[in-house]
Amino acid sequence: MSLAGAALGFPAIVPARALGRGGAVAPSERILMGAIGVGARGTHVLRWMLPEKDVQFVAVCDVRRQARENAKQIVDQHYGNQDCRTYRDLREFLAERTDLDAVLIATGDRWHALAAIWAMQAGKDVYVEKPSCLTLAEGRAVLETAQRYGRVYQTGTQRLSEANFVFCQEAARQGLLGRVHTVYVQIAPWDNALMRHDWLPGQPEPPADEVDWDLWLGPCPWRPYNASYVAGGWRGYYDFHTGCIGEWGAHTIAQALMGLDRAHTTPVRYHHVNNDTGEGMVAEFTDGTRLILTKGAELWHGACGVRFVGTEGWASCADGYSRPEVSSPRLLGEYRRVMEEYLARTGRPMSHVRDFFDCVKSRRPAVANASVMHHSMSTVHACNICMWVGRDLVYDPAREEFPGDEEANRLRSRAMRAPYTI
Amino acid sequence: MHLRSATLLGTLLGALLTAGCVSRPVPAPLTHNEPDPREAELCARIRSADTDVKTRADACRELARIGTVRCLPALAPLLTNAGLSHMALYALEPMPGREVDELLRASLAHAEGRVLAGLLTTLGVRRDPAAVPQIAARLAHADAAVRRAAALALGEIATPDAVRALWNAWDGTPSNERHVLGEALLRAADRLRAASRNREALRIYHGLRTSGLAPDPIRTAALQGAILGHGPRDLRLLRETLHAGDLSGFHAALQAAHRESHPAVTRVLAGEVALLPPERQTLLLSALAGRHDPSALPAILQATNHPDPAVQMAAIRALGRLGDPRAADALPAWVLHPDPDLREAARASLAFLPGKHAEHAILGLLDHEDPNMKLAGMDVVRRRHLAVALPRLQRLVRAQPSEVRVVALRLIGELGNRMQWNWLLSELRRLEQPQELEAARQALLDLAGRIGAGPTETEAVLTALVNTGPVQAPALYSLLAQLGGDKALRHTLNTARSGPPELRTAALKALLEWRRPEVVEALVALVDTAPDAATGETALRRFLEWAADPELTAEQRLVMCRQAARYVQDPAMARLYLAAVGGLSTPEVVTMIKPFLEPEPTRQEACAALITVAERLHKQRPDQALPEPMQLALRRAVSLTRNEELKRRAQSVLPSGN
Repeated sequence: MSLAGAALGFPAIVPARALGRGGAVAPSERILMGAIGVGARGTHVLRWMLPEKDVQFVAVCDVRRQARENAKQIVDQHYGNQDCRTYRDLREFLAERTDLDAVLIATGDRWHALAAIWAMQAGKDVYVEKPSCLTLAEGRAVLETAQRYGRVYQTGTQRLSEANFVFCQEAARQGLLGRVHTVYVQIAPWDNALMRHDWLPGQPEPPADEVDWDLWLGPCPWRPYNASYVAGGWRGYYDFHTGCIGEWGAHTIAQALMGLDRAHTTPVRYHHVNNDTGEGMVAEFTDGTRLILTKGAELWHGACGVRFVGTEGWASCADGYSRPEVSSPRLLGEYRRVMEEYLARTGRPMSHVRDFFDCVKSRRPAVANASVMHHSMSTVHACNICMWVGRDLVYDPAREEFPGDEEANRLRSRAMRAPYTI
Repeated sequence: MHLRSATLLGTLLGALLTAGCVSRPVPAPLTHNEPDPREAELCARIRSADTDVKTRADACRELARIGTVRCLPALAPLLTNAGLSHMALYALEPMPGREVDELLRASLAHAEGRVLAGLLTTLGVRRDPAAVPQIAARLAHADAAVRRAAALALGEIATPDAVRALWNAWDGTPSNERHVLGEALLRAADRLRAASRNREALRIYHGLRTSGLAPDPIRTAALQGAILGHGPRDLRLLRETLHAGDLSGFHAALQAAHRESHPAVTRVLAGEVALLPPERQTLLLSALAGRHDPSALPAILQATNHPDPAVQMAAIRALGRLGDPRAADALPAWVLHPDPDLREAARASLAFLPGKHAEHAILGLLDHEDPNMKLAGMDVVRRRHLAVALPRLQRLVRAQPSEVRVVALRLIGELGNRMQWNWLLSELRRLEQPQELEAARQALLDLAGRIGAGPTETEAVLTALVNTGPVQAPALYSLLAQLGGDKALRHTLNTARSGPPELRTAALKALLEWRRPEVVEALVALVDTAPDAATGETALRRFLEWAADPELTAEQRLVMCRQAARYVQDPAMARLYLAAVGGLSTPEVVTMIKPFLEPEPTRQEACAALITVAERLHKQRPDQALPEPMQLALRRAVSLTRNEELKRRAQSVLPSGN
């Protein structure tokens, strides 16, 4: 029995456009979608979503003309027509497209939170790329908005829906490793946690229709235009990025928390390390369970690796492994049972986008929902703040603050640049 | 010390004029204590006429972390500077001190457009109640961005005055902006509810729900908020909404229920399931399951009897997700359902219910008289990996019909341990049916892999072979081929050469399937002595596959290639041979490859093998030229091949000029 075939779809189809937008129910049960931010990653996910039979893309939005034209071509080619509309400004896009049920958001990281919030306020369900927020405050705002409007939200931590990663999480969660005391989580081998504040040399701004620089910057502090930022060179800048910890930690920490069955909380103690990347940082729960951040070339031979270590064994996964590495073949002997149990218990398909679409129809929380996102990203942000203030930190997950630590608390948010505010 | 407004205004005005800002200046407050040196330096940079925008912005960024009210005189002028206002807010927004709020308020009158919107937003983030009148005055501003910022700021502040101001603006707001006021009111209500000021929150939710002007998302959000605001003590609205005609309302009810874990909510949901139309029942059943509250079990069980298959399906899945062991009493009735989806859902749900009660129910399926029930039971046993079922499975190996025996055998292989090894061997010896023999063989293979079968297990197979008939022996020889070992090989070889005729074929087949490299000598001997051409060909093929296997040493593989050379005739075998030769690291390969370079059917592979070895040799000794015979052969390969990539690779290892 193929695990994919065993995935349980939901029998109840709720026409999503009936939810929160009034008016007549749509004649078909297809999910009408738009996409905001359709560069390299955006078109990658777009191509992943297009083949789904119950989904139809009808509009794309990007501040770059080239990107939106390219994405339109992809969509039109898929459907064999010219119907895909293009937009430059997401405010206009969201205001005009009241017909959309959901949006894919794959802008640069700096826009993930705000675009998701605006889309949910406009009545859309959201699939948004990771890392889903630049600050603790943004993450909290996203969660509140998703709850307030009852929207389905999925962050793009797709490894929560990939079998080899799920097996490791479940092996940890189901006790096959004994008591899990340590989880190694891989951080990106490039960039570092102490990010850049310099400006690239200013260049003449292109016409807004070509690249809308003001809109590209969005909520971030103003700086002069340079084409490199727009071409992907924004990574590594404090204003735009979450650094090496967020780049992969958005994935690996989410997996770790799932495997520890602590997807709705965060570690409480963060131990500073004296390097630029956070390599070796320990984030600890109250019971002593630890997350250890590492680039981990010796632990994995793929990307976004996680290793769960327990009193009775360990399980390790990363990209490129069709089966995880384990301390004993006995564990892999449990693979099928563990995965079948997971499928029976959760009803989740082994496809992140499919999970999102199923949840749009059933109104069930997605696997990487806003609460899961907020808690894993809170851990990312706490790790980053620990690096920035240069000392150990204590965090209160219930109050979402660093008790008595004003400097650290100030870094929980950043003033957003008007009019691009929550 | 509290500063009088006039003094404040005058001081700020002076500071701003000094800074030379184009907007109307804003006065800065006085400082009181000794300045922190780092802070003072940052402020000096901001104030200096020579400082560029970047430096000022960086100073503001740093002040966001360490700044105090002492830096307000430096920051004040920036607040109304279009180019730096945001960075000034960046510094001020997280900074404690009522003086900061005073400065922000004082700046409002001197700002426009985005600058004003930014100030309003920051006042909202800081939740300054004293700013409400000034913010409220901007709800009717000419600039839409300012109106938006004002509304949302009031929503964040959420005082009674702020809420009143929002409502006062409600009717007159353009319809395309009412969602902003709605969002602001919702934020206020949610804040009040979080602070347990439910009555005030409920008034807002009620207002939004009953206003004919609220956009649908706002109304639905207000409905959810109202349900949450009433809390578990008053669930009438929840109950009502579950039956509302509007599906979005129903969804809001489910969303609210999801956020309220109180058992009273479970009771309401469970009580309403049967009263709802089928499409809502399915959603509600899923929601009930997700609560993991055992009190939902009766309602879910009842739903399994619903005439609508979609409701039945939802109920059966819900039983699995709920995880209450008592569901094991109901689920067996579904494991043979004619609808494959229902059947699958029931088995999946039953397989993972926790506890002994569920185990007992599953084992009960194995004891059932109906063979189909036994098969269903074994399916569930397999999913659950239920090793305690082994004794029953062993009995089922003798049950009827054959299908049951086959499945039982396979399952023993999946679940068993060392104790089942000899038992399986003895069962295999009495089997006659091909499917059962194959099932037993596969079971032993599975078991061997899981227990790490070694010499003891191999010895048991050899013992089992004694006086085993020709029907069963092939399975045992096949098993030996997988277990390997010198003793097993000797026995198999002897049988292949001189054993009873009825066993020789099985032994030969085993040699050809042998999993370990100790078999290679026997294989090459078999090429000459095989009873038929097909067997000889297979032996050669297997020998050549071993010759390419990196598990063997390079020396072993070289010897094997030399041995194989005289046997390789046809192109198919030649390709295998060339693949093996291509894995070597000696110039001797030239002699081995040469016969295959010219003929068209083998040319490409021969060129590729030659070039691969040449590259390997070149990498080992980059400072030395390749031997002349190899260079000659490479040049010939370059001239023969049409593959540009191969040409390029060959030329890269030849001395330049070739």
